[in-house]
Amino acid sequence: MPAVEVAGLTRIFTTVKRHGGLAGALRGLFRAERTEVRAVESATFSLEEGELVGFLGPNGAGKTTTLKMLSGLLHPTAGTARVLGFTPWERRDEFRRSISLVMGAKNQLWWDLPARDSLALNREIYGVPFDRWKKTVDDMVAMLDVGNRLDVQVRELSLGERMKFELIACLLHDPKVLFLDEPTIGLDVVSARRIREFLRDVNAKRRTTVLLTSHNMADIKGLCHRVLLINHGRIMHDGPLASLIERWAGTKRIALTASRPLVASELSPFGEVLALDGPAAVLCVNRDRAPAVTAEALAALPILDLTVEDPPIEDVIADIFREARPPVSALREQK
Amino acid sequence: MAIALSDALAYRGTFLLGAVFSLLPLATSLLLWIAIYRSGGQGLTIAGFDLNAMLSYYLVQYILGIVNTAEVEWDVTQQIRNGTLNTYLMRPLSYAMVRWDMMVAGIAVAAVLAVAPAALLFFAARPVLILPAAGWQWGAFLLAVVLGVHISFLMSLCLGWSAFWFLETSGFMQATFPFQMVLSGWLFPLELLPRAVWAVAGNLPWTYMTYFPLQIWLGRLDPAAVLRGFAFQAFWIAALFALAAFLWRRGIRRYEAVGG
Repeated sequence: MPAVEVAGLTRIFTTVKRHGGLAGALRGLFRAERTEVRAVESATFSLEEGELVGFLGPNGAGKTTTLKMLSGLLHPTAGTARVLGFTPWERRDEFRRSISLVMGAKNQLWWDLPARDSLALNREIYGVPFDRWKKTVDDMVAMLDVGNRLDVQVRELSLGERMKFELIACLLHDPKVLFLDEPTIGLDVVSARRIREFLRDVNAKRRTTVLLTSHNMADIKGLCHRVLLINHGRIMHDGPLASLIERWAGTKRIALTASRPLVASELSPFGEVLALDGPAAVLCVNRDRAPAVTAEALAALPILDLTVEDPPIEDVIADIFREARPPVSALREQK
Repeated sequence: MAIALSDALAYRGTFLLGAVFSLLPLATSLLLWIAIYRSGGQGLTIAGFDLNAMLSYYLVQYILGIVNTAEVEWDVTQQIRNGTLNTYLMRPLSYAMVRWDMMVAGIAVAAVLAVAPAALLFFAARPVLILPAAGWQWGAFLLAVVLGVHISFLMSLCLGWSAFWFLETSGFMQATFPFQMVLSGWLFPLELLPRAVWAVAGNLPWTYMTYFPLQIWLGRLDPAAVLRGFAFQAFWIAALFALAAFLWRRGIRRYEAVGG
């Protein structure tokens, strides 16, 4: 049985439109204009136990909303989801004991107390036996190298340290499914890398199913076996990163170095010139034309070195996301 | 519970402020009634209260007031509005139980802090202070206070849950405040209300928060009436509990879990 099964999950938020200024505020008293935001539209996917999957999408794509529904915080407007066989929004105690949600932007630790106390509190709340708890915490603290910060008040920790403790606090009860919302947001390169290593380790050793959202490509590239691309609430791609490029990248990049400086005019017949710097140039050509263009270029120009590459994945994804916004429907004006 | 206690202790400054500031309305009420009774001549009773009873009413009510300082509805509304409720929703806990824990911790701390000022106040007021005459009245008083605290707790929870529906509840709560002040006997003993109003108000939950315990303290109720009062308290606790459970179930569906 898959650890996570989602079918047709939809969430619509209805917000009252507020106009600015005094006149607008007065108007708001009498007529309420309601707008509908379709945050998640018919999402369908499933995760097997032990998978590490990334949810990639621009801001407002619906990643966090989906995560909130899967962790039971939000009720969906339509559709079903089952996590470890439970319906998340029923929020059964056993369900809550088996999962964890970590939000990069929001802290769940007690602000005024040392991190150690929050970890102890979670042990009580989740009912973790002391020995197991001690071993888990010790292991994780060592792995993340925060041993000397355990007795510092959370408010005095740096963002990176807070995030590390947040992760420990949310993993000490050994959840089977871990939801992460932007875990590396705002972190420096070293901390982010540490956390990625940590997550990889947790996933490998404990077979924790991990679903993480990010708009940081390093997270996705470094961690995820599989990527779910989401935009405007719709899932646009579901599969390994490599398949993403295959399916969506319509072009290839040809980087060539010649024995003499090149001129734009002699390159343009082959394809779009993306960069030109003396003898080095980068061309953009249609995927299916790449072999032919390579052969032609090699024949026509004094080339020393030539490589054919996929476009950077960031560009591919940016292109996918650069679609026209669907119109936002104004439901009705109410008096 | 331990964490709630340490949190509550951090608020002892607030407690002191609250206690000191409520001294002013207390003093005003006492002075007002002394003036009224004096002008009415010796042996005046108003709705069955003689001067000492009236003064004792306010004094004991003051102590009850500074002990039950839980601002449950404000905290709950805040957490719903800015999404901090999420943390509690994620843990295998009952949010209502957490709130209850915090309330008990708050009252425990306030009760301990209130012992000294209460002793001082009662000592100073010896000449007029009426104490429960019979032993059972002390016990009944304490029980009624505990039940009354639960009634006000459940009511605050319900008010707090209203934030699931109304984004701006402060206006709503401020509007109901004067009603609550009157109906709970805060301004004046409820029996001073017009007969018809008292007939209705006497059955409402607010009467059973502090007014009923105060009546026991002042010895104005015979055992049968006290038992009837307990029955009312039990009824209101059950009714408000059901309402709170209903509002929570409905409200949580609408919860938008903002933030993050």
